[in-house]
Amino acid sequence: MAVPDIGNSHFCFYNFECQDFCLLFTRITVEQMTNSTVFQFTKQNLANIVSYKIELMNQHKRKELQAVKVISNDLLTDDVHYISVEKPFDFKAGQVVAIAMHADDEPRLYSIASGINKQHLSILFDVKPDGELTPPLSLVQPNDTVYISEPFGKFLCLEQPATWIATGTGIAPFISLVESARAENIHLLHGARTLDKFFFQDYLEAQLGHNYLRFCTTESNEKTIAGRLTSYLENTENLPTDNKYYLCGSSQMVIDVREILIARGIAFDNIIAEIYF
Amino acid sequence: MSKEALYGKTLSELKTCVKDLGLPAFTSKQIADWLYKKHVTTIDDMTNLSKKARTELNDKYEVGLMPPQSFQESVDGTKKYLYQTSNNQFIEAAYLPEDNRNTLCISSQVGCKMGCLFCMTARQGFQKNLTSNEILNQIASLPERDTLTNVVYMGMGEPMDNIENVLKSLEIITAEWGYAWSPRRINVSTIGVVPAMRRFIEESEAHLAISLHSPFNDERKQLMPIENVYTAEKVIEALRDYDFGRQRRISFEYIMFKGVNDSPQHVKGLLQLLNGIKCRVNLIHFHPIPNSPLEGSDYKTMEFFRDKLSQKGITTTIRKSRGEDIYAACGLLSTKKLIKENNEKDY
Repeated sequence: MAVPDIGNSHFCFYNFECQDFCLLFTRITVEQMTNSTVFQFTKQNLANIVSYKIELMNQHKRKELQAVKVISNDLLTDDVHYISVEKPFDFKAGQVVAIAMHADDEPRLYSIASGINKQHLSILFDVKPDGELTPPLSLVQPNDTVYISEPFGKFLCLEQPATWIATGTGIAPFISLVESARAENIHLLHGARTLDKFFFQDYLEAQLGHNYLRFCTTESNEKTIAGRLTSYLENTENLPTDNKYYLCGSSQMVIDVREILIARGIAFDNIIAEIYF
Repeated sequence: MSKEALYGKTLSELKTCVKDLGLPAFTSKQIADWLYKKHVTTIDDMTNLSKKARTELNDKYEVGLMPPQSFQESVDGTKKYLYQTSNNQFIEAAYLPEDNRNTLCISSQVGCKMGCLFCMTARQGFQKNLTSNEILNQIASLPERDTLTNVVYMGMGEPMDNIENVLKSLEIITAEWGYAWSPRRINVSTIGVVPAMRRFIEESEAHLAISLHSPFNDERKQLMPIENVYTAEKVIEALRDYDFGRQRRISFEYIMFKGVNDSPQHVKGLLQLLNGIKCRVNLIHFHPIPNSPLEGSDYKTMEFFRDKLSQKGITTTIRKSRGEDIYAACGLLSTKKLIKENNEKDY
């Protein structure tokens, strides 16, 4: 596209009185604007500047996001999907990626839910009916294209012995860690409302054995503990005070669990949380 | 069926409203004028609109202002207002009068998702994003509205987690057709949600305050879960991409916790992290919340910290605590007791 000669960095975005368009100035401060020739821009100049701004913002997003092919889309329960895509980057277990349907969309963050040595990169997500991303993402087919960022984040759960605590799809980073052989001295506690929400439970059970505890609030079977994970944490005698505790899930879960752990004598600096937002 | 609020709509949104009703285009500017300059509370008060226009607007819209439900007043003059929002939820705003300025601290969300260990709002979890109407209603319906000199987005919620509505509200406050305030009278805080923070920097001219609280990754993670995703280092890296000019202010908020983040090593860490950033640091006294494992640093330690940073060229102040006795001080706003218990929890 034709780009007006206005430099290439340091934007100042200013709402013009007629508000039909916004002015983009480069290397010009608001103070300078009032004394300069900038208000002599023609409407066409301004339209070009706006287009330029949008193009630059999109370039910025495109630089951050890379197109990858979808390998598979598995429906795990009525509203939870496990999607695998090509893996263009190496990553560390516990990291997140930003993902979008199109290069110019605002991406959302998801924990990587696959091991570092797997051929593909996977995420686990539940469909938010009002969301912008998850309804279309739930419909992708193999060979479709989605856009992902380089992995980032520091929820690496490096210290052990540790207790990992998750609810719902908050199990995702822990799946990655177990699949990456990073779960030698850990206990994994997973809470869910229904029995079908213990994602990858057969695999986790095989890997972790008795160190993998499932808490189900509305149903029960021989493999799960009926009741709330929080009740267990409040009452169990088996709660090591010198372990690291890594929590992943909704903010409310993190707040509630953290409060219980602190009340049970766990130092706050032994509690690390990743919150979905 | 409840009517849609006009208050909180930008001029371009008002244009769409009047276009959809088949009213003349100039009506939108007139409505903006009535809403944001003349502060009317009903459509019937918009007396330069034709009767037909008012009738058609009344069929679908209302001004949509809600007075505060109650307030508490501190011994230091701070007032905490309780506002009801949609879905029968509640937010708080704190009015802080001083000799030469009157500041309103407003909320951007009901609750908060960010889970910071030291914050009372975090304890109530997240209920909803405020609409631009609900954000601005805190200003518009404040009894002291006309005495306000400053607004800070430092109440309940993380503004960058509700960036669309926050930007919309900022547009209305600063646009000529809106309140026409200088953006230098507004300060928006964030814990550092980097993509939304970049948008804020690019699309607004308001000041930016970043809640830092530790320069060290391992320690900040214990206090603020966001550090696992957007580290302080990444936040600073993003800030270095912009030229903030002489007038726009970047500040770092630093709550001081006894024995946690108040040592000389933290001074060094801060100096290293903020090197080359034109900014100021606000040291904040920790206001204890129930069952918190944290304690506030004593005043002597805070002064030491302030002096060390100042000696190295970073303008550093100790922020005066306001409204602690009515739970209106920094980090104490909460409407948790008004929330119905959620029995659908999965844990």
